[in-house]
Amino acid sequence: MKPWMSAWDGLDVFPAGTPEWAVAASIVGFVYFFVIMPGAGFMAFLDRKISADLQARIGPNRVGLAGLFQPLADLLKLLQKEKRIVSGWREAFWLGLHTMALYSTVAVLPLGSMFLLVDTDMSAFMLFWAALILALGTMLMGLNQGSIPGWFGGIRVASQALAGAFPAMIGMICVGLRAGSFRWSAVAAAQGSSPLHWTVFSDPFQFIAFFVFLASGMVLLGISPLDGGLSVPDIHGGVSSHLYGRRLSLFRLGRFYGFFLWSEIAVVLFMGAWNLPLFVTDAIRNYSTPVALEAVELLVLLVKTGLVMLGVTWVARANPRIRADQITDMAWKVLSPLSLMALIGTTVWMIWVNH
Amino acid sequence: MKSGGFHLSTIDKVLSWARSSSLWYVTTGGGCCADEILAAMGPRYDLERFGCVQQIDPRQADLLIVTGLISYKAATHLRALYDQMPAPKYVMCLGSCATGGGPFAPEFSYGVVPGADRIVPVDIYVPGCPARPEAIMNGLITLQEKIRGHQRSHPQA
Amino acid sequence: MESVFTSVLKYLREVYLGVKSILTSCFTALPYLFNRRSGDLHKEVTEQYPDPVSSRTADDLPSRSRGLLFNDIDRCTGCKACEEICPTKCITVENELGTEASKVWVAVFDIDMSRCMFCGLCVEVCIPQSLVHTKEYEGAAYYPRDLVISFGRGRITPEQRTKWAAIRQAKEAEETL
Repeated sequence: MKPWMSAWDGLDVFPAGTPEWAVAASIVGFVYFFVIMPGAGFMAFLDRKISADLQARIGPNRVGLAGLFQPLADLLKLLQKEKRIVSGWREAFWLGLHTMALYSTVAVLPLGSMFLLVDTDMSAFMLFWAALILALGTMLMGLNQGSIPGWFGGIRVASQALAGAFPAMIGMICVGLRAGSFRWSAVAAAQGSSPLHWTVFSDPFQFIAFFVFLASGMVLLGISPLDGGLSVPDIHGGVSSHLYGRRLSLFRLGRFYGFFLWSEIAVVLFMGAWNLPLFVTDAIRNYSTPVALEAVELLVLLVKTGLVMLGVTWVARANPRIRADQITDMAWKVLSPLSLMALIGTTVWMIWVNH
Repeated sequence: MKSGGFHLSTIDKVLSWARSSSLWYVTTGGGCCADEILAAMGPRYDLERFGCVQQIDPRQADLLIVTGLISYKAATHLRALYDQMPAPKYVMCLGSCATGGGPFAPEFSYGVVPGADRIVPVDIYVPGCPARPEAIMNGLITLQEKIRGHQRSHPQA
Repeated sequence: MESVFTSVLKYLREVYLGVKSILTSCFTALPYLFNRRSGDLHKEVTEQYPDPVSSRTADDLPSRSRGLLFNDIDRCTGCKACEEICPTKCITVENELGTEASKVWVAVFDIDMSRCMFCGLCVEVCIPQSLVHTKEYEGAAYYPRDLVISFGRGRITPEQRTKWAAIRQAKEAEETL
């Protein structure tokens, strides 16, 4: 076992002598097919149902139980679409970047105390950069369209990513100051299971930092309602305007993954990560296997992530889409000063109040 | 199925179920049938129950809903719209104007195409002037049955 | 020239107002999510058309709504008033002489629903009131020929025609006697 894989020692599911690459690949595959893809489908379903409910409608209800299989039907239909070859180097680059971001960051995803494949001092930043790479790929995808909506969308995505990166980085540093490290295990250990011990409620400036971090991530990745690069009424879908079939499904999956990634980082950094109450952890350790503990932790983390995503969806569906220039305005003129204020405030709080 | 049909394998059944239950549509948006489509999209009649979502771009759409009269000048654009849609694609002809010219039929007006089927292959015709939202949904369900492979005979034919 | 302090306060006030407006719209939309039955406004209003739950059938439509046409061929006199007045020329009527001189045999009464504009003029001019608008609207078809609704009694063969002419002449002869 390599040292970076030591976290996996507790999971006795692999027979002794399994090569490391096989372990890593099977874990990544497991997470991808059993966590992310069903999650994408379920969240797409919930998104459609909630937006329908908010509009006093019913939403998809004729496919499967209450329309639960609607995303599956959409996916299967998109996969059946005819392929027309219109490829450019930018699109190949987009495909490469998306695949890289989708698969490589799965290995870095924090999914539980034992589900930490790469747990280094820079772990949090790796996912941050993955989000930036997703934005870069999206921009190239837009520029590849060779059409006005695509160009406008690509430029908007790029400007949003630039605007959102700075406050997001500062918000992350606020957490690092409190935890003393950007290591996932350290960030999780600095928080407790009770909301009172979460970073977000530890001091008022962390509270601001949390919302700044979440909002700037939405700006960075272009998540609705801050998706100026994909807005339908003014630039006809922007980046995604000419995508269809398999590429559209991959694009939608990539966007969901970005949303999921960011919400999960936010949960791990600010909302108590996967921490369970101590007696629960002890009980599971005593009466069951480490795999069961890991499963419960993963469940807690995913539920929290889902709640954050639902909250963002709620805001997105109840508010109109914000104009692209107003998004970048907000990111530069509101989120950036607030993030700096939160950073200074956190520092002062830690020096004067905690000590 | 009736004679002339063929047995569908299970995979084909699943695939055609998927195609039939997520018909994303794009409309040509002319005439008063376009208003009825807006009504059908809205909360009162909610087309999304059938998995139908309106798309802006024909490349992402599976169903082209032709509404309103088609002049010879617009015919080329309608054909371009159809040609942009990738392959498993369906066309719904909504209302009298699109189906047969309606009150603007060639007997009365020189510039009107006598029916969308002269330009694009039409899968389903919905009568009405304009068609009620329920009639649009009825056409949609009939089209879904066609995609799933069991065509029903027309009640009046 | 306002002071730095004033402009910072103004800025914070704008941020506060922005957050407040977002939260206001969120909490305005919230009752819809839980489908609260406190008022009509917050209920789901969807009529689920093909399902029997909360959907209106054709009978629930207003009494004067104009759906697909129906002709009671027993009362139809074949006067062709509807064919004359139809603005889209979608009605085709062909008459034959029947067994009685007073009543024509309406051989063909086709209404091409693919061209009908549901104006109701044909119903207004129908003297025997045999042609009516039903409330039915479900008429989707796979082929345009299926949209043609036929109410005619059917074309008659030449043999029938001579036979009926004979019957008619016999009746006339009886009456003149």
